Amino acid sequence: MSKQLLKALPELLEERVISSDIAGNIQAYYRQKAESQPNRLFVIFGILGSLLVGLGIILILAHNWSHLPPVAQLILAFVPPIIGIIVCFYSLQFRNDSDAWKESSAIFLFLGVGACLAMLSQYYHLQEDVADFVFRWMLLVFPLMYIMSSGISAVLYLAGITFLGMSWGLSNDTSWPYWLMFLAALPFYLINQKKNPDTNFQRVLHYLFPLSAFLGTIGILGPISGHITFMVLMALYGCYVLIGRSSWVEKSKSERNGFIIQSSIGMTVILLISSFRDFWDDQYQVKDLIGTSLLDSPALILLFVFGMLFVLVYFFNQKDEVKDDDPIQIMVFPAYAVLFLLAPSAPMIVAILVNILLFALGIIKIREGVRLQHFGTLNYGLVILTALIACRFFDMEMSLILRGMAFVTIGIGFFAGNYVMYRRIKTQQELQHESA
Amino acid sequence: MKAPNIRIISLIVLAIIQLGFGGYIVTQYEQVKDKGEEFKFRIQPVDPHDPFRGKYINLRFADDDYSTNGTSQYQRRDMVYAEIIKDKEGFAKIGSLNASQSQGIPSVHVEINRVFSAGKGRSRITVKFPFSRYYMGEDEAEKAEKAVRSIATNNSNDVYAIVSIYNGKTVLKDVMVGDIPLQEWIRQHP
Repeated sequence: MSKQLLKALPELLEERVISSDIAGNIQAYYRQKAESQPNRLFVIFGILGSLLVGLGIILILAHNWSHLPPVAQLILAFVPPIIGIIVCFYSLQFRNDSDAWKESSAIFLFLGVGACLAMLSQYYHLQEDVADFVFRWMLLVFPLMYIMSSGISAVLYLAGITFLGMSWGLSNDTSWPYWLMFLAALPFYLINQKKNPDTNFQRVLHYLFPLSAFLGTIGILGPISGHITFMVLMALYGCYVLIGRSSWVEKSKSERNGFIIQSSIGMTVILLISSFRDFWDDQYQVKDLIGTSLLDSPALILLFVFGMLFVLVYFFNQKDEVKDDDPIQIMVFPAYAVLFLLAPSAPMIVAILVNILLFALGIIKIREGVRLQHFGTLNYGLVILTALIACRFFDMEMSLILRGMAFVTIGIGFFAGNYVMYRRIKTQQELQHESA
Repeated sequence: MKAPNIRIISLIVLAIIQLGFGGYIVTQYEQVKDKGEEFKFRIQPVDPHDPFRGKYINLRFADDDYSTNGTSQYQRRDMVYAEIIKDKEGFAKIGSLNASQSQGIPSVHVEINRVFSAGKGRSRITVKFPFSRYYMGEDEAEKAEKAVRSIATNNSNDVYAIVSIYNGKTVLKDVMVGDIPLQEWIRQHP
């Protein structure tokens, strides 16, 4: 855009559309913008280079150098982190203004520490499994994101702790340490959103943070909690809906952010699962939960925390006068909570209400898609409706002819919806062209 | 200028922690190697892989079980201390299982693997020793597995792991075929 505008400047000047002062200002603006923008390509290549070298070192050390003398093996183990520390020191002291240097050196030290730990556990034949190994590694490198202001360290750290949360959960070990490690990275995310909201890393973090929290929640709840898992996840998604719309995230230019996308998909999936009559039939622990102490049940603790967060963000959004452009999405979590409590006494009614809620969501998305002329939202609404109808086939006695006709109707609906919108956009474009 | 200084101090502190932790691992396990008592555990290996640390052979121990006189008070996944003693041929075996560590007696912190009923109110307990991974060169692990399997079938030589035990901590020092370290044995028998 800027290049096109700059190219057009002489013509605009010649035709006296703008004055020479304005042309000068435009040129100065884009020159300054180009200078202040970090050289992204340089940063990316620096990070890629360090990442490859660091991973290469880990692989080379994994080869096992047991034929070397013991002292040489131990020295070899400490070489990567020592080089990493020296390069980090150099970056901070002499290249403090260069993101490429800071990111590259941080990533090298990050991986160097991993290589050192791997070599030591190889040398002493330590029995720790991969999760124990990654746990030690992440503990030793987490301050790097703060010290080096390194986005890539934050990304790798999140990937590491998410792996930990999942593997602890799957092996039935307690995964609470995951949440402590998650909280340790949170200030970096918050500070970075204030300082560099438009950087690529922050955009990646907008996706990674919610994804990591989701997987961490699954890690804690997966093997133990049964039905209430869905309630807790719904609460988490309820928070995502609000956070994604808050002025805090919306400040960044990314049109759609990870919070909104993940909550939309997650809520739809949970509602689809809960739309089955059987789901509410073999109910579950609400009665048992009443007698349970809060601290005994990880699900209740998480539900409490997410519920509080939901209320907190809701009031913040109200204070910031955030526009509720999608009130039904915000209401899904509170509505689901009410249904969850009602379910033991009236499972059939609750199942019907969930179906109505899903149907309403689908219709609203289609309407929104048409209003905003956004094919993604339109088709998302159609997918919700299709999935809802497909799910009903499983628990309804319906003849094959009726099922077939329903699918043909939806197929025509898909085609017609998209075609009508395509025609509408095209007509508008033509009208704009003519008036221009 | 203030901000970079704080960062550099933090980096130095972090470097000390990172290298110090590495140093701690080295001193801790060197101490076990130097001061610990050595035991020979009969083994049967197989070879898996670790994404970060390369190839290793998984050691299965011939004497990883213990029979109790009464019914076992332990269950699967319980952590207990196994007192290690030597049999007539000088190989290690479990002398007793205890909930706490006895002072001055070589013992290893082990996980209960399985508990069987051995009849007449007795139980047989198998344990997981905390030294079942032996890291090897990537091209050696597979050969080692095959070699040890064939030696074990021919029964021509004893295959065993040398383990140092000190204050409940252990270091797997080497895997031997007769009197020769496994890695050297593989080089001699390509």
